[in-house]
Amino acid sequence: MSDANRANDDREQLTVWVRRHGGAVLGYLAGMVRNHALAEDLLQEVFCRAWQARGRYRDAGCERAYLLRIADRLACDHARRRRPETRLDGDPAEIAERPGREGPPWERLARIETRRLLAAALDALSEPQRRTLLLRYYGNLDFNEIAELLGAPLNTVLSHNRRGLAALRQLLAEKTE
Amino acid sequence: MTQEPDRNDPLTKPAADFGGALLGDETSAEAEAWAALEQLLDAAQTDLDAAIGNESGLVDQVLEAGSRRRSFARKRMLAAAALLVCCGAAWLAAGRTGELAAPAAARTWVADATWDDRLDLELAWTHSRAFEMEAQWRRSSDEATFVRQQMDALEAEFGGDSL
Repeated sequence: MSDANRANDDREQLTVWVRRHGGAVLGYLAGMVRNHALAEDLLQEVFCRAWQARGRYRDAGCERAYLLRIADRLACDHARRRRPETRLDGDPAEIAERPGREGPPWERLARIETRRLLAAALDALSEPQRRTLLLRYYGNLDFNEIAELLGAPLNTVLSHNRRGLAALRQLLAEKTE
Repeated sequence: MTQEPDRNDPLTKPAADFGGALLGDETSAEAEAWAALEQLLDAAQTDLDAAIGNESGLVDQVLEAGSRRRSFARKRMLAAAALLVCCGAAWLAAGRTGELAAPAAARTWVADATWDDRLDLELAWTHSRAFEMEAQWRRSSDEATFVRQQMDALEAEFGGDSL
C-alpha cells in the first residue's frame, strides 16, 4: 500500500472515531473538568494520544472505552494540578453557550435552566461518583468495566453509583419542593 | 447524540447487576434519579455535539499535532545523539592529549635541564622512562603482559642481573 493510501485510510479511521465518539468524550470531559474551552483542548489531546498509541490498541469494538480511559486519565491529571481551585467557570449557566445558538428566547432560557440543573447535579456528586455515573452514561459500560477502568473494586464502584444516585435524588427532591 | 444503545438502564438491567443491593423502592428511586440525570445529559449533549461541528477540523488538528510531536521527538533524539557524540569525542580527545602530552613534557624537561653529573643524567633518564611507561601503560589492554615485557626489557638491559 502506498504512503498516500495509508494516510487516507488513517485519516478516514480517525474521522470515524471522532464522528462516533467525539461527542461522548467531550461530554465526559466537560462533566469532569467543568470548563468547556478546557474540555475541547483535552478532547484534542485525547484523540492525539489515542491516535499515537493506536498501534497498541487491540480491543476492536471497544474504541469508546479506550478513548474514555484516556479522557479519564487526562481529566484526573488536570484535577490534581488544579486542586486549589474549586471551579473554573463563574456562572454555570454560561457553560457551553456557543455563538450562533441563540434561537428564540424561551429556548435559550430552557438551555440555561438545563445547564444550571446539570451543573448543580454534578456539583452534588463527589469526584468518584461523577466518574462512575458519567462513565456509565457516556461509555455505556457495565460496572465491571467501570471498576477495571477506575482501578477500583466492583463493590466500591457499586457504592459510588448508589450514593451518587442518592445524592441526585435528594437534589431533585429539593428542586421540586 | 452519539451514544450507543443503552444496556445499563437501571430499568432494564437485572438486579443482580447492582450487586443485589438495590431492591424495591430503593431501586425505583435510583432509577428515577438516573433517568433525570440522563435527561439532563441528553439535553446538554446537543451543545456538545454542536461544539465538535465538522469533525474534519478536529481530525486536521489531531493529525497536525501528531506530526508536530513526531518532528519534535525526532529533533530531540538527534540533539541527544549529537550531544552524545560530542561528549564521546571530547572524552577520547582528553585521553589522547594525556598520552601525547606526557612524553613530550618529559622530553622538554630533559632537554631544558642543566646536568651537572652522572647522577642527574640517570635521574633524567629514569624520569623520561617513567613517562614512557606510563604512556604505554595507558594504551595497554593487558597490564600483566605489559609489566612482564617491561621487566624482561630491563633484565636484558642490565645483562641478566637480577632486579
